[in-house]
This record gives sequence, C-alpha cells and structure tokens, in this order.
Amino acid sequence: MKTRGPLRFVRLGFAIILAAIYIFPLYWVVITSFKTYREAFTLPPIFFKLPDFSSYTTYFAQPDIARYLLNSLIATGVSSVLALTIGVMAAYALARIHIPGGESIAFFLLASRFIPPVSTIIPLFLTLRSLQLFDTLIGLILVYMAMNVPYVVWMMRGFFKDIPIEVEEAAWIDGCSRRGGLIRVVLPMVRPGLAATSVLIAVFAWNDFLNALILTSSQAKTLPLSIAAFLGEGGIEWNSLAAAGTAIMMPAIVFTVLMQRHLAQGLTLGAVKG
Amino acid sequence: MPFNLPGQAGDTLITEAQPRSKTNRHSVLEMAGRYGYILPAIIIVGVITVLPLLNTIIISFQSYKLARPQDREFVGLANYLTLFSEPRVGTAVTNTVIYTLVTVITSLVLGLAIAILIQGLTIGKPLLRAIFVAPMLLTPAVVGVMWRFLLNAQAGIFNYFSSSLGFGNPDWLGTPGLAMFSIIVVDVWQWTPYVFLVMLAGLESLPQEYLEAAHIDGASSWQRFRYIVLPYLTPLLLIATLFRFTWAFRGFDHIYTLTQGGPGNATETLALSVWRTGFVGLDLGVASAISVVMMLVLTIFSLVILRSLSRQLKS
Repeated sequence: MKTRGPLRFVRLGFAIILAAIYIFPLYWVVITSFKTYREAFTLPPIFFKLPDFSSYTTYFAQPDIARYLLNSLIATGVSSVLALTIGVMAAYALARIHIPGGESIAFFLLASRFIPPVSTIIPLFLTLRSLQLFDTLIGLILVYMAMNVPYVVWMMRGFFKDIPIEVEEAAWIDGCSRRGGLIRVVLPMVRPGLAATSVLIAVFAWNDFLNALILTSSQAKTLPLSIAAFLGEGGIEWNSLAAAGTAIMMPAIVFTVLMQRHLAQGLTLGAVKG
Repeated sequence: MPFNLPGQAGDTLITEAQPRSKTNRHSVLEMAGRYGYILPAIIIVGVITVLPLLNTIIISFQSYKLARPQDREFVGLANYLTLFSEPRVGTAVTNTVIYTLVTVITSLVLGLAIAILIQGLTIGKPLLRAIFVAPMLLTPAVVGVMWRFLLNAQAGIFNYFSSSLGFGNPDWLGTPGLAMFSIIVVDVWQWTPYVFLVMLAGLESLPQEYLEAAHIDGASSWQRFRYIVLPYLTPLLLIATLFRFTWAFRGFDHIYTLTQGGPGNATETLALSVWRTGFVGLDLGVASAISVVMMLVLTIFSLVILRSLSRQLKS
C-alpha cells in the first residue's frame, strides 16, 4: 500500500539510510581499489577518492592473472553457449511437444540442482583425473554445463509457454518444420527471456569457486581462485585485492541491475512473472 | 492464481495444426525425434551430476584413502560409524544447524521487511531497488575475501568505527563465537537481496483492490498484512525458504574464504568437513559418508517444502 502525506518522506529517508548502510561494504571495496598501498592504511581512513586505475593495471599485468582471466572468460563463455543450446532445445520440447514422462524429466533436471556440489565433487575429481581432464578447461566447461542446463530448461520453458501456440501454428501452415518454426519464429519472440537466462547462467559459471578449487591446480585456474591466493600472504596489498575483487564482481553488478525483474522469475522456478 | 507454477494445467498440447515433418507423426522415428530434443540435457546432467552422486554413495561404503588408492576396499557402515564417534563431526553438525537456521530466518524476515519498505515508496524506487538487489550476484568467494578485508582486526574499516565508538578492536574472525556471528552476517548480507527481490515481485503483483477494500472495511495495517499480504506471499515464501535453506546448508565459498572453518573448527560446517576430510585429510570414504548424509537431509527438507507448496497451491 502506498504511503501518502508527510509520512512518505519519513519512509523515504529511512529507506535511503538503510540502503546507504547496506551498500557501504561494496562502496568501501571500490574506493579502496582506487587508493595506493599506503593510502589503504591511512588513519583516519580516506572516504572519498576519484577513480584511479593503477591498482587494476598492476594486478592484471601479472602474466598468471592474465591467463586466469582468459580461463574464466573461456570457461564461462563456452559453457554458457553450450548450456543454452542444449537447454533451449529441451525447454522447447518440454513446453510444446507431448513427451511421455516429460514432467518427470523436468522434475529430474530441477532436482539435480538441489544436490549439494560437495556431494558430487569427490567422484568428479577422480573421474576427471582418470580421463586426464583434471586441471583442464574442458573439465570445467563440462561441470558448468551440467550446473546450468537445468536453469536454462526451467527459465526458458516458462518463456516458451507464454508464447501463444497460434503463432507457431501459423508458421507451420506456411510450411515451416518444427525446427524452422522454433528458430525463425519462436526464438526471436523470447529474446528478452533468452538474454536474462544467458546472463544468469554466465554469472553462475563466472562466480564458481568450489569446482575450480578442487578440479584445477594451475593451468585451468580461474579468476576467483586468484583472489583466494591473497589469503595466505602476510602484509596483504589491500588496494590490489580490492581492485581484483571489484574487477571480478563488476560484470555481475552491471547485469544484476539491468536484469532484476527476470532474475526473480528465474530464481523462483517461474513462480514470479518478470 | 497469479502465480504460474510449473507442472500445472496446460502442459499437454493438442492442436490441429502440425509442423511439416518428413516422417509420419505416429512413427517410431517421430517419437525418437521428440526425445532427441531433451536427450542432450539428460545426458549431461546424468553423467556430470547423477553418476558422481551414485559414485559418492558407493565410496561412502569403502575405505578409500587418496594417498593409498590401491588399498580401496568395502568396509560396510564403518565410515558412517566414524561420523558418530568423531567429535569434530558433531561440532560440524551443530555449526551447520546454527548457521543454516540463523541465516535463513534472518534473511527471510529482513528481505520481506525491506521489500515492504521499498514497495510503498512513491519516489526513488528503482535506484533503491537496485541497491538492495546488487549484492546477490556478486562472486561469493570474492564477497568472503572482501569482508575479510572489512573485518580485518588491524586495517579493517569496521574496527576503525568500533574503536572510534569505544568498543575496542574485536578480532571478528579469530574469536570462536564472534567468527560464527561474522560469517552469518556476511551470508545474510549477500542473500537477503534474493528474498527481497522475490518478495518485492510478489508484493507488486498483489492486486491493490484487496488492500483498499480491507482498508475501507476498517482493517488495521497489521490486519491487512496478516490476513491479506502474508497468505498471498506464502507460496513465494516457501520457494524462498527452499532456496535459502539449500544455499546455506551446502554453503562453502563464504566460510572457506573467511575462516576455512577456523579458528580451530569453530566455524566448520558439514560442507567444510567434506573438503577438509577429503582433500586435506585425503580420506575419501569418510568424506563421502558426510556428503551422503548432507544429501539425505537436503532431500527430506526439499520434499517437505515442495509438498506444502503444492498443498498451498491447491487451496
């Protein structure tokens, strides 16, 4: 219920203060990333600083870090494209084609997402090692695909169901095959849903830590692991750490803000309409 | 029903128009073609998630030390019995229960409260909404490291505030009880936005006429919340509980980056125990037994929630 009258300014003021407290940790990390090593320790602390990206350039100039960045980009990009392709096909079929046992299959895919990753990581490690896929990007890509295909299926199935069947029927009458109708007519119509789904699964892969921690050791390491490497050291360069952290999180921040509404739909199994 | 829940009516489609097809639509080939669409998804999930899961169950009945893989043998329930006799596992169970319950309940209450606060705003809503959603998709491992910096006993900004206010310099992550508290704060900070996002979406789909009608009938704001808003949001609250419980119960990244389960094993949850036992202690048998127990708990909890969810939707 909307508040009216002077009370609404009290409400707004309270909301602004709360939001400022809530976002402060993130603000502090971003500000620290603009500081020099010395400034990061200065007392009283420096609360405002204009952007200065020297911590970023120093951090990403390290050859190892550049390679981790490349690994993260490849693992995220390739796994997302593949998961999207496989997932969209399955989602379309589960939304539109009568498949005996379709509901059980959808439920099976969904249920697989509730298995704790630590419950499968030991055999995955052993299997990848025996297939010589340990510490390779192929290993990581396979794991990210399995992680994301169920999300694609659940999100996209909802978007497909929202498209009136008459649209597709018209395409069929015009002589399209099922696949032709899907590619030329249906997919362009669900483009916003497709975009939201891609962003969500890319963020999941980009953010992964546990799989990369256990399934890689040096060659296929990803960016989130690079930041954990700071932890063992004494005399941490907080400004570099803040720069690394900000750089890793920035894509997610931007996309989250752009995609808020569809995110709710994707993360409630379609119970909320975007 | 404003919610479009999966598995309801409208799944099966019977229409007269059919896509052009080279094969007869009742033939075996056509049927195989239908399954062809879903087969890749089933294969990838089956091979990368289900097979390893079955494998974990098998390993949980074996003695399997990573350092001596040739001595792998069947030992029955021995690994599970170890769990009950190991005090460290007992602590991990207690820690997991505290961590899960406190973070889930706090984030649900806080998320709903912030959603109600923001939903009633007339100006500034898009910006404030973005701020309260932002933490949700940050890399959890980076969030952990970032808070380690904020909570650092010497250089952290929190201790600058706390000592300026005369509360001294607490060692947030190095003192047993305080370390658990800090981890809970971080988890709540990152995942409350999820509850907020879902609840806000729910509130915005709530027809305003219901509330206005109740208002005219003289219902107080508490009564409106209790008898209109809350029942309307119940299915969403159940879904949010399911997700939040799952994430907290199996949560690894925050704890690993903040304390690695320390000091001692004061913040070691079951997920951390699997890692420590399997990849530091190299005892894959016992680690698998722990993860099988975790899976059972999660399965039971999910089924309970999903059942009450489907009951909610029927009524």
